[in-house]
Amino acid sequence: MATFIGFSTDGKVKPPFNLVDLDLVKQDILNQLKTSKGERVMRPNYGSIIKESLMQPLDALTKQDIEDDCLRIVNGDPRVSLINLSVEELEHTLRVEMYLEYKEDLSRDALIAEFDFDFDGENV
Amino acid sequence: MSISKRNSNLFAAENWEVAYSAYTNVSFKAYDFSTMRSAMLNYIRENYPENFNDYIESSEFIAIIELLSYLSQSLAFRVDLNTRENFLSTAESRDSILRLANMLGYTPKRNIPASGLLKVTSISTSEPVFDTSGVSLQNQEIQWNDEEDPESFDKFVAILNSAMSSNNPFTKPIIQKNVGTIPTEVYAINNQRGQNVAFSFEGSINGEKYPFEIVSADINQNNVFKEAEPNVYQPIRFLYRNDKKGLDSQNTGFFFMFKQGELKFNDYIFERALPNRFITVEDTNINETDIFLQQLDENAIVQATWKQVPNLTGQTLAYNSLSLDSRNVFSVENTINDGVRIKFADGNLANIPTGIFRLYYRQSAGTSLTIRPENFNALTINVPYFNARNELHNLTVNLELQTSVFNSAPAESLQSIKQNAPQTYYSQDRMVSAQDYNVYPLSQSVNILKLKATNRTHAGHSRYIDIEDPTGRFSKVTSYADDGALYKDDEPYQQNIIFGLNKTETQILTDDIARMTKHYSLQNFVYDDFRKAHEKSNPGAFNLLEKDILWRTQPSAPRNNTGYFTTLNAGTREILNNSTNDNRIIQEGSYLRFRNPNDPTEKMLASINSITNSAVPYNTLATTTGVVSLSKDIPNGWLAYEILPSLNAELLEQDIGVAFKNKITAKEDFGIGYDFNPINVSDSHWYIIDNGSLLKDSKFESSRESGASWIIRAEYNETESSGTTSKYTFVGRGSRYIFESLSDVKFYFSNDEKTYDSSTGRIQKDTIELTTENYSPEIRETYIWDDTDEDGISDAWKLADSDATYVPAGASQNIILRGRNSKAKDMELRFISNFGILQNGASSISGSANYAQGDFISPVEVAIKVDSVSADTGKAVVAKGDPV
Repeated sequence: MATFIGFSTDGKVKPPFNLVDLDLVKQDILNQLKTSKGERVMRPNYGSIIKESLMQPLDALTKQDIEDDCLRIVNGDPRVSLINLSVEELEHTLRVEMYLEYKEDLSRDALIAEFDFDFDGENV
Repeated sequence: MSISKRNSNLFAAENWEVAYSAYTNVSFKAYDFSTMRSAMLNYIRENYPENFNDYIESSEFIAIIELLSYLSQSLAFRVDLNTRENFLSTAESRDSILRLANMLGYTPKRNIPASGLLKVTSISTSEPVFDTSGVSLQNQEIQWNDEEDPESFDKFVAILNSAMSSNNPFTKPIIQKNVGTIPTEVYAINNQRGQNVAFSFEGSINGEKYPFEIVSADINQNNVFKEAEPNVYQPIRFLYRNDKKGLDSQNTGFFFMFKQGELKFNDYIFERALPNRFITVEDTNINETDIFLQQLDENAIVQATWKQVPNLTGQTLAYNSLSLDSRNVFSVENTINDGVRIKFADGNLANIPTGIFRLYYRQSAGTSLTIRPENFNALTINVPYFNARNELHNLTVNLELQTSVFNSAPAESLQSIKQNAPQTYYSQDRMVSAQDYNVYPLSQSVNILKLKATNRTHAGHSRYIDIEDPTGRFSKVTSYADDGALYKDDEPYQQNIIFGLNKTETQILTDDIARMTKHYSLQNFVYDDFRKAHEKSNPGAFNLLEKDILWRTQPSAPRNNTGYFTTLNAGTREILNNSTNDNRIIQEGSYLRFRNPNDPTEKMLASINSITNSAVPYNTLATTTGVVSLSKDIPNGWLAYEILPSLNAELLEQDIGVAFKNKITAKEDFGIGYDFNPINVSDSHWYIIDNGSLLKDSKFESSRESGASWIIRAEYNETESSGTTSKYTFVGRGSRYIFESLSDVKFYFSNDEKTYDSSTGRIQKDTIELTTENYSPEIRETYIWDDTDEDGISDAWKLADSDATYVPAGASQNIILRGRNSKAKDMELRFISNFGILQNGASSISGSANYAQGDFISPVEVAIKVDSVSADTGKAVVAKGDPV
């Protein structure tokens, strides 16, 4: 039986919208990664800096900032722990890869988020 | 599933059971974001624990809940805000408050402009006007009340008359009314038409410049100044006021009216009759008083003036055309920042406007200004005018503000509107109930900050009875009593003065001694004992009939309080000079009794306030202020037939200054006397009585040669003096009058509870009126000549209502009076005996004396003697006066 039961419409057009356990946690983390700071009502500090960093040259400093921000977001969710994190720049895309461990059953899975420079959307 | 249950599900919204069930889960306390969010999360936790437990802020569902909470908060805030703005007590927006007040028929007050009168201090004209001597006044500046030019007034009037309409020269005003008791006349300058409705100027107040305008003055039906309706084709009007206090009075002269602000106008063309038309004026800070709406013809000539209705409940556009006797009415609504919206009627009970209209309005500062005379420096206006020959000339007028003006007020505050609007609606534009009296006046003026009306009557009081407040705070209380007593006591006034400190002898004489002469006890003495003593020694001493002194008013008026006296000297009428020996009796401070020479029953009493130049007028011109000032207006030509002299302290220094100093230096006792009418030229009014002839303890004598004629005596106190200082005790003769009531009325004096007269702002004083005079004493003690040892011969006085007996001893009755706290005059002693009373004419006891048998009522101070012979026989005699 699932420990965490949640809800997401991301990438879905019809029910079921339910998600459970590690999939749910990954979706929750992804929600925050895809939200810019100040975008959400009443929560100005919610979200990530990734979108604002897309146009910055991905030097070591910016990369470190993005990694710190990802680490902060993952650490904010007590249900998982971060095993590995990488931030890479592809063609017109910033790719964030996280390898997560679900604390309930110690299962592991990768979370990959890609952010297009042209803001048309993200590929996960 | 039953049909009813299915119906309930289908029509869930209408089914009360479903609705009731749903509402039990709703938190109606949740209005803001956090409580909304908590309420929804709690609802999910309680009802869907198996379907959702992802309570982390990055959850999409939580994001949706928070978005919903945000929207709910926003909606709740707006609903709450709109609701609050719909109630007068909670509305905050000025627009909302004005609308709500308007709904209640209340028109909030806009700002009140400062307004007042400017006195014309000088004028000049470009026209060749000639004075009575034929001298041209062209381009000459004529000062008002020019002391160096006795004809300045005539010149002033000559110039103005030339500039005024020939139909209304000076003394033939357009309007003549009393404004605040001052006769005021309205005149008009025949100025060039079609140019000015007002003359602009600037005033600098607290470093800030404000626009002002000189406007055409008028007087309304309540005898208050108002601005005449602006009309470029009407002459500008000004005022002449005369308070009869001479030309230098602030309220005498020619005046122009001014208002703070800038008069503007908008023209409107209403081509078709549109019911309920309104026009909005975009300008702000439009004042409360100056809105004029005129209907014009195509040449801009005023055809009609439309009247503004108050727009209060019961006085609306639709209802008050009858009360105003006009169907041409409009109302004014306020918009924010003192803008206005002009509203017209629907045509049923008032006319719909059609044609050309001009709306005049004045923008004012919208603040409370205190305008002082120095704020208007060198104020000059030039008025082009046509003279009687229709030639265009220029009148230059210099103006000055005489007194400070502080009658402006800002617009009514929101708090005030919120308070007054419902109260005014409640009072329905009338004052009937007690609450009406407490609230209605507030709606009439923004200058009333606090109001309290007290209900002094109650159900059952007839309206035909003059209601009195028994506390005496709000109405006069009249207490009737029949036990009043008035008596006079000797009350010398005493003051210790040390010489040699910080004041010179002369300063003490003119300050301290002069103040002593004005003390009420000494004044009482002068008006009674002093006067009686002089009357006794010199009958007719105060009679002025022989001098035949007549009062002449100056400035000339039927009655006035300034002027001079004339007197008959050896058959010739001449101006009275009070420095001459015959007339030295006329002094400042004295009272004069006047009477009408043609009707001796008409009499008036006035005191002489001041005399300058020995009462001799500088000139006898009709406009000059007289040298003698009286306490009240006395008709011209009345006869001064009697004088009540008082002490003229102004003469102290010149009369006895040197002698006084010498006496102090010599450390001597002395007396100070006053001769109200010195016979000899060399004698002064005040004089010093040497210690050698001073009779300190004697009763007053009127003769100035007598040592008892002192009214103030000085005693040197050697023990408390030093080499450099001299301590004196000054004792003034004096008396006081005491009115008392034995039991009916209790007089008490409280300095903490003063009652003020609201109209004068002065403290109200009580008065005692004597309806009748009653000389009967209040306390009676009756003694009966009684046989105490039962030997058949009466031997003692026995008190009628007790067993107390008193055996006479010689001239003394040995009676101990019981009424010890009473004055002797309040007591009556009644003696009942079988002996006789000496009647008038019998001065001693003898067998042949005229006796009267029976009761005897004696004043206390009269000694009664029982002679030894009579005592032996049980009979006695009583003698009034000196005991035998």
